[in-house]
Parts: sequence; C-alpha cells; structure tokens
Amino acid sequence: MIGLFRRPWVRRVLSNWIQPAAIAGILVFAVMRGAENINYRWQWYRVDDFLFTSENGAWAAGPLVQGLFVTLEISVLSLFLTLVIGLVTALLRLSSSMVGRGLARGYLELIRNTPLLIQLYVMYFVLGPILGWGQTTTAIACLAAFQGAYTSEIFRAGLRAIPRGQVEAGESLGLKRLDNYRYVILPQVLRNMLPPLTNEAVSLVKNSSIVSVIAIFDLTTQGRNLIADTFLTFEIWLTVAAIYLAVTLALSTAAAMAERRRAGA
Amino acid sequence: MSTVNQWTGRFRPTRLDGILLVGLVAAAGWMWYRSAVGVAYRWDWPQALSTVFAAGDAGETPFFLTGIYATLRLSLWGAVLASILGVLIGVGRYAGGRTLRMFCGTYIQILRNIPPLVFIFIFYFFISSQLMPLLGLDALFNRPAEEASGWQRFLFGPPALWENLVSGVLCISFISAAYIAEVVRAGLAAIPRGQWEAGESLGIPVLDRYRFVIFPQALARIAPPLTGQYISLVKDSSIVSLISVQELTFVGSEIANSSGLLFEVWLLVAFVYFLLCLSLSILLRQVERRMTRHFHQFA
Amino acid sequence: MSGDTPSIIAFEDVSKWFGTFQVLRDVDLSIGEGECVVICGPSGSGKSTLIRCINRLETHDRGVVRVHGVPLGPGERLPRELRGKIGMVFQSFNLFPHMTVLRNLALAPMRNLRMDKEKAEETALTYLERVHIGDQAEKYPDQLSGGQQQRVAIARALCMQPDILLFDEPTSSLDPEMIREVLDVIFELTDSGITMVCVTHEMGFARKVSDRVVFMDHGEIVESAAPDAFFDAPREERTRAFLNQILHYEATA
Repeated sequence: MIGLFRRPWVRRVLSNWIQPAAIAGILVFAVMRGAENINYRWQWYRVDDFLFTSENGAWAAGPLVQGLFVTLEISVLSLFLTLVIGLVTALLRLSSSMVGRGLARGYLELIRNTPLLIQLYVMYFVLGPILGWGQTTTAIACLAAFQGAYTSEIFRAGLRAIPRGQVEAGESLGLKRLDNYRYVILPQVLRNMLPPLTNEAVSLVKNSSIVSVIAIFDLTTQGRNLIADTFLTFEIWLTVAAIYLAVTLALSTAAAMAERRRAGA
Repeated sequence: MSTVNQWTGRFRPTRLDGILLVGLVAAAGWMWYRSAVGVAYRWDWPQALSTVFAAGDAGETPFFLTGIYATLRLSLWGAVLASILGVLIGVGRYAGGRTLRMFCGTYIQILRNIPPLVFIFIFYFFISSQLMPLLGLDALFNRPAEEASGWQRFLFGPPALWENLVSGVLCISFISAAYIAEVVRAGLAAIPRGQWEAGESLGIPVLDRYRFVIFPQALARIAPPLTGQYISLVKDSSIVSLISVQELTFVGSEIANSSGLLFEVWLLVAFVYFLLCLSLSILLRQVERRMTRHFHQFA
Repeated sequence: MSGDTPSIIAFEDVSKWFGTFQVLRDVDLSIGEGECVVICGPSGSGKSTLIRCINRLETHDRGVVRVHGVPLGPGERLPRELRGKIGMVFQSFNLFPHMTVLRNLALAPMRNLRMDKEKAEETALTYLERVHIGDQAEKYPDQLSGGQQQRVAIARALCMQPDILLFDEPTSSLDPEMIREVLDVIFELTDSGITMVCVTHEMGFARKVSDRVVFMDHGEIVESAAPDAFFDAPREERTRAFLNQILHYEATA
C-alpha cells in the first residue's frame, strides 16, 4: 500500500489533482469567510437542486448536469472533426502539392491569428447563415476548426517522427500507399500522439464554454441563466468551475496514465 | 535525419493540385451562390466602411478606432502584468519552499484547467463587488476627467473607462500569468543541474546565479513559447468584451448590431485582429532573434 | 601522511541515504592541508557523493563533516565564509555556455570577491595561461574541444583562489586522446599547496600524483594507503579484486 504512493504516476496524479483540489477548497473556504464579512449570504444548500432533482424518488439531471452533457456532447463531436481536420491539414502541409500546402498554411495563419470568439462570431453571423447551419453545427464546426489548427501540429510532428525505415519496409513489402498509411504508419503515429491528443481534448472542453455566447445550453450558459434567476453568483460559478476542473483534470490524469503505460511497454 | 518528408515528395503534384483547385473554386462559387441567392444578403462595403470610420458628431475619434486602441492598451498592460506575475509564479513553482511551490502549482493548474470565460465571470464579479472597493480604486477612478494629463490619456485611454480597463487587464493577465508561469517553470527546469552546481561551487551569490547564469540561458529557451503566449494574450483579450470592457470585439458587436451590417463588420473585426496578431508575431520574432543573438548559440 | 599536517577536511561517522538506499556508511576520513587524495572504487560506491558532501552540493544525514575546522551537521549548507573557497571540477565541465571563456572565469571573482572587471579579467588570463589556453579567452565553450573545456573549468575554479579543489571524475567524459592534457594540468597543481581530492579511474595518474589512495565500495571506505603500498601490496581482498579487474582491463585494452 505504501509502495503505491511511491509510484511516479500515482504521485503525479496526487500532485496534479488531489493537491490543487485541496488547496482550492481551502481558498474557497477563505473567500466564503471573507464574503460573510461583507454580508454575502451563502446558500450552498440550494445548489444541490441545480445538479440533480428528485421527484417521487426518481432522480433527474438538474440544469447544471444537463449543461454538462451538452458540453461533453459538443466536445466529443468536435473532437472527431478536429482529428479529421488536423490530420488532413498535416498531410497537406507535408504534401508536395503547392495548392495543398498553401491552403493548409492559409488556414493555420487565419486560425492562429484571430481570437476564437471572433471566429465564432464570424461563423455564427456570416458563414452559418450562408451555409444554412444551426447553432449546434456552427458551434461544433467552429471549435473543430479552431482546435484542428493546433492538432495538425501534433500530427505533423508525429508523422515526421516516423523513421524512414518503417515507410521503406512497408513499401518494399509491396503495401499500397493507403495500406501503408493505415497499417504501418498511423498506428505508430497514433500511439505516440495519444498523450498530446488528450491535451487537445482538455482544450476542447475548456474552449467549448465559449459557445455559450451563441445561446447553446451548455454548462456555462446554464450557469449564467441560473445566476440571472437566483443571484447565487459565487455558489454557481464556483460549482461550474469545479465541474469543468473535474472533467479536464480527469482527462489529464488519463493522459498521464496512458503515457505511463506507453513508457512501461 | 531521414524523415517522412522525403517520401511524401512522391505524391503526384498535378492530380492533387487539380483536385484541390477544383474543390476550392466549387466551394467559393457555392458560397457566393448561397450568399447572393440563398440568403439574399446585400453586401454594402462602402456603407460599412463609412459607418466604421465615421467620426462622432463632435469630431471624436471613430468608435471603431477607440475599440482598436482599447485592445492595444489592454494587451500592453495585460502583457506587462502577466509577465511580472508569470515570472514570479513560475520561479515560485520551480524554486520555492514546499508551501509556495504548492500554491503556485495550484494557481497554474486551476487557471489552465477552467475555461477562461468562467474565470472571467467569477473574477469580474469578485473584483467589481469586492476588490475595487477594498483597494479604494473606485475612488481613484471617479476623479473628474479634466485631471487626466495627455500622456495618461495616451497610455490608459479616457478616464471614464479606466475602471473598465483595469478590470479587463486584471482578468486577462491573471489567466495569461498561469501559462507564462508554466513556460518559465519549464524553462528553468530545462537548465542542467550542473549549471546550478557550478555557480554554487564557485560561490556566486544566489541572486547573481539567477541573473547571470540561469536566466540568460532560460530566456533563450523560453523565448519562442513566450512569443506564442503574448499573441494568445492579444487574442484572449477579446473575451473580456463579455464583461463589457469596451475593446475591439465589444465595439464591433455594438456597431454590427446597430448598423445591421453583420457580415461586413464581423469580417472587418476579424481582419483587424488578424493584422494585429500577425504584425505582433513578426515583430516579436525580430525581437526574439535580436535578443538571443547576444547569447551564443548552443545546442 | 594525514597525521603530520593539521586536517582541513574530516568526515566523522558520516552516513547518507538516498531514499532507502544507503550511499555512505559511517565514513571516517581525514585529509591534511595540502594533501592530494585520490578516491577510487566501482561505480555506485559513493565516491562522488562523498566529495559532494565536502562543498555541500549534497548534505549528509548522520555524523559530522568538518571543513577548515567548521563542523557541518546533517542538512547544513556551506557557511558564507567558505563559499567559493572549495573549487570543484565536474565530469561534464559545466561551463556556462552563453559566456565567453574569459567571462566564465571572471564572473565569480566579480560577483563573490567584488573584484572590478579589469582585475578579474587579468586574473582570469593569468590562470588561462597556467592551463595553457591563454589564446582561447574570447571563444565560447562549445567552440573548444573537451580537453580544452575541462582545462577552462579548472582555471575557472582556480580564479577563486580556493584552498581545496575537488575533482569529480574530471576525465570520464573526455575522448581518450584528451585525457592526458587534463591530467597534466592537474599534476602541475600538486605543488601549489591546494588540498586536492580527486575521484578518478586513472590508476596510473593516482600512483604518480597522489599522496594517498582511498578505495571505496558500497558506501564505505575499504582501504586507505599511500599509493605504492596501495597498488603493490593491497591489504583487503576487495581492493585486490577491484585492482585486478581494472588492471586486467587496462592490460588487455
């Protein structure tokens, strides 16, 4: 049992997760005491209902948990799209096609040099109407277009790190180019990229909160609406932050464990 | 280094180029068709430009330009404050005692793991309701406007918006500080232990060890990621529009809503950010090159 | 030998652990002023840790280390008055890569001894001459060969005019053809009056240069003797086995 705490990955989980949570708890407590002094009346007991409601013994998700589901749904869908965009962009950048490289380059510069919020506004007010997209589609496309630019760098680094010998071995065995990609290159690339890709997922969850500005009922929007109704500003924002923190830290922890398994293998 | 680069050279350029070109033209054509016929949007660039750059009734600076200036001020002061905080927290995380390390680590972890938007909403409520009155800042900012001198207006904008500016600066610099701190920490951690030991065994005092031995080497390593952080800061400054800080995005959305020229105004705002960030990244790359030139190139 | 002169470094029952692994086991060792001691032993035997406990890059966990008569207890760092007085030459040189050779040498005298720049650079040049690379002063470390870099590192330590000089495997990361030039420089220092403690695998060098050879194994001092006695008539079985391995290796290699 003691040995368990000595293991590097367990210690990392502890220091990455448990420790911040504990300190955050202390800080929140301090803020609460401070706020009491200016007559802020804490009503944490009301927060339960925003997480889960029970009617006749049947539990149902409260607004915040419903919001969390929307956040997760948007994040997962845009993650898939992100991977596709990232991979295609990386391949285009490494390709010998002038148009392809130019296209990828232009896309990357455009995304990297404008704020996500502005991208969202342009998508929502300009591209969305033109293409006939609804809010959710716009949100997912926007997040994926944004994250894809950063993910493509991971793919590019991963692709470039494949030793030439692997490619040549596949080719000399007579594999078709696509098969060579599919069976030889991509599995290796993906395994190396799992930890950085998990960080992209963390980014996506985090960035997804920005879609609340186009009236999607994600965690952040639900929080804002509840505050407008109840004025429990601190309680609700702190709860929302804690939920985001739990999701992102859980993902980071998963990445740490994946890395450990890779290192162990 | 033999990399995958070389074999991708065997793509048949003509075919892929052709496919992409055709696709590009088709997409552009379809977009044009949709905007002209599908949603029947009437583009009016002359109107948009004159709205955006129109001076006020009494000849004031055009509203749009005040937004650009505000974003520049926000970015400048945000970067200054974020750098100071970031270095302090980063060094604290790397070299502090157990408690300090833990607090700095927690700050970095939490700020990097909750959405900036959520942080801004919490923090804005906190500063406007508690920090400002506590520090007596509101009294400072509510002085009569005539007292502000020319250079104060130049550096901090119109006095009526000072409080507004400070809220924005605090928000973005607190977020950015967490990222800068992590860059600083990683930069310090990348310095080989032998460098510290050599400094120690030579009896160089601790602060001098940082100043002459460690920081110059760390700086050369962290300059590129740091550049990225400053550009991120300019971009992230757009979200403080949501707490009514009157910068470019806020101003853009006001103009877009009041004029109804949604397409033109939003594209224009995006274009301005693009120019800002691109020129900043070119500028910083020059600075970076000049800065690291003084340090001999080491592997 | 250690009996005739007052001791400048003394280990009294010193033990140290890394986690559960004991690197130093009740070490007793006294080194006299001006003495040149070579420490040898298989890798992982605690040699480096032992000398790093002298300038407090490592601290020990039990016992007392005396340097210049100042008693240092467990966990204690080097007191201010001794800082810079114990020079160290590292296996991996540890030159500051972003400074010229001259600046590498002048920095510590300027910042610690408050020497002005001209004086410090003058001193630096003197010592560079002494290690025979006065003409490389304006170069950067990575423009020099390994042997030259190590000689710069020795000159850098000398600039602080230390009374004790520690060598932590100074030739282990050098290409074979460069080992000699570094050993020669160290040899030239033996009549300088500086107390030298050198961890090395160069047995020929140990025999020629040292006043005493100390053999360590598993964190304890197994044997300590004058070089002739040590190499010609080792008393301990473990010493004999070690020498056998090393000499056999040298003969066949």
